[in-house]
Amino acid sequence: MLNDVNGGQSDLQKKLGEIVEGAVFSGIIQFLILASAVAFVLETEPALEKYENYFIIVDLTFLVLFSAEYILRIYTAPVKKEFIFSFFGIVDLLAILPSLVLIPGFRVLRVLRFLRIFRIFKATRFILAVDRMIDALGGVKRELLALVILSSLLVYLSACGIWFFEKDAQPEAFGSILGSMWWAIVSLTTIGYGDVYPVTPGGKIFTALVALVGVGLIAIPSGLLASVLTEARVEEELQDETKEKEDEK
Amino acid sequence: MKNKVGIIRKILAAVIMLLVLVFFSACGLYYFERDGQPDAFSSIGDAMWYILLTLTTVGYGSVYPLTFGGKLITIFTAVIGSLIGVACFIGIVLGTLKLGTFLRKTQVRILNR
Repeated sequence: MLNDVNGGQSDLQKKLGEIVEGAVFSGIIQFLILASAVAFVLETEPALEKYENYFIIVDLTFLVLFSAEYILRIYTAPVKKEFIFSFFGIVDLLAILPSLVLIPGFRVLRVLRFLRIFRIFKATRFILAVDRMIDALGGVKRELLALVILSSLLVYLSACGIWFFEKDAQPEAFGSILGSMWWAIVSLTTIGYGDVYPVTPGGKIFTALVALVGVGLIAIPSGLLASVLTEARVEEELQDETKEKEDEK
Repeated sequence: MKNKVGIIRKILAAVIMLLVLVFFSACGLYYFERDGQPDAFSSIGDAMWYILLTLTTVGYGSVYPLTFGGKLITIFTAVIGSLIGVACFIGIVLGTLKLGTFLRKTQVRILNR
């Protein structure tokens, strides 16, 4: 079966590989991912509970189809081990494992069916800009780490501050610094559930400061990512241009 | 060094603009809401607290306007304030952080070609 001319792949493997990489196959898989995600959501609707058996049949169909896809991908991979342990190899395996518990012998493990949500990660294979995004994120690793440290610091400081101002007025909500951290996170992220809020003048002024800092804190990562993504794009374009110039020579 | 002074000036300008907006809308809210909700809007300071929560998009929901006038001012402040004012503020902060170096890098790269 082995043929060194084709890089160790048989004709059948090559042909199947072309189909797997092709647009039709990708389209079908994308549709299946979307359909399984929709089915997963509909299953929890109380009005549709009486169709439970149909949902199980649908899920078993997905199990068969996704298993077939997984086996095909392993079969057509140039280096099988590499695919199995790659990100998408693991995601593909995780996408079929939870549905295996539907098979009678495994019924006890039905809770694990919840893990079917991981199927949605299969869709990342088809997002072309993901590579650029990962590159860009790698470029600002240090800045992101600094941001994580800075946010933790701010949460800590805000919690301590509000505890100081509010501990006497609202001992229930702001009795401890650890308890105040809930308020600090909700306010710094500008979520603002409104379940706890300061009532003393000092606490209110302090909150105004915290909220303003929070707006800036949320903005920094978004701006950072935006600029880095533009940078990655400009770099790509510059590289393309220099390549064209060299080709002309 | 000259650049640094410019940035501080810009941030100051944005902060002052926001403060003016907060002051005027707080006065307006106090005027419209004090009769309907004397507890929540008992003073201009209280109204400022509400405006700040709105502008920073925290929105605890502890106080909110009930009158038509109060709601109108809130809409105006929220749109002008959080979209333009806070966005300006953010833009200035970001401009100093990363985009400056990025633009300079690209400029140098284009010049070197």
